[in-house]
Amino acid sequence: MTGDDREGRQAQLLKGLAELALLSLLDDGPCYGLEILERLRREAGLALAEGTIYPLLYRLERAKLTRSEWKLESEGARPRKYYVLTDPGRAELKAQLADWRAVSTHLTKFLERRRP
Amino acid sequence: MSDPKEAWLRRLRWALAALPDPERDDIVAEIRAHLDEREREGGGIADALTQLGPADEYARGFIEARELTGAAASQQPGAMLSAIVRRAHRSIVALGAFLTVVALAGAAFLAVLTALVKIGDPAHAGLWRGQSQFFIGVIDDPATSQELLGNWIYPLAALAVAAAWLAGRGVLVWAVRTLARTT
Repeated sequence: MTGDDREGRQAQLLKGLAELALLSLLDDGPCYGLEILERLRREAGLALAEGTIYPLLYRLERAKLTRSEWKLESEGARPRKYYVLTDPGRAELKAQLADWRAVSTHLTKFLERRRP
Repeated sequence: MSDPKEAWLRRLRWALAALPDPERDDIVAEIRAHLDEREREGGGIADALTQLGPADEYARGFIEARELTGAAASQQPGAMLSAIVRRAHRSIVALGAFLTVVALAGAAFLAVLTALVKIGDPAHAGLWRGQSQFFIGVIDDPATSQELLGNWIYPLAALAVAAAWLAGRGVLVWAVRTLARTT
């Protein structure tokens, strides 16, 4: 197994998980791109590449699961584009969470079957 | 010498030409804000740009997202099929969906064609049962096989078209949604 194979597999796995983690993060409240990236890396442990988050945010907004708004946090600050979850986004989060729980429960049972 | 950040953003803007201007401007402004923030944190701009990769390649993620979410939202068979065909050479999901749609369309076409031929030549066209196989179409010697449908072939051909349409559309919707989530 080469390093490239491993990175490719991890990247594919991350794409699926990043969407779920992102929806869950936005359920806490509005966030901007860089903040989302840092929090997903730090809190969710996802080793996301630097630019991964923006095409994903763009897709979720196009799918109407999120919406965005440019905001100035304070006088003199630079504007940031904040994302929030929409009602369809919350429904999608609920559905993806249910799927994730079902898959992870079964997979954990399977992987642990030979342990005492 | 030109500013590498500005050169990269210009290249990104150019590569996003397929998107409507407001969306393109918004994406470039957001990436610019990201790079500015990385610079303020003390990271080198060269390092940040390296991590984003070539602007043309980076733009492709947005263009793909727009095309796939647009096709999925419209649910128009033409747009969905076009999105699937363009990815069939590099995606197993797209290839599988394309082959399924072709098989469904082929089966419906065969049923309709046989029904049309049966209007002019009822003795040789239909659904046949031979010694070991079923066969739909035109047969040279009807005495060697048994025709199963008779005039039922007309409503059943119409039903086959409707079923192929619905199943094909369902396959396309599933494939486009799957691709949108994984591309």
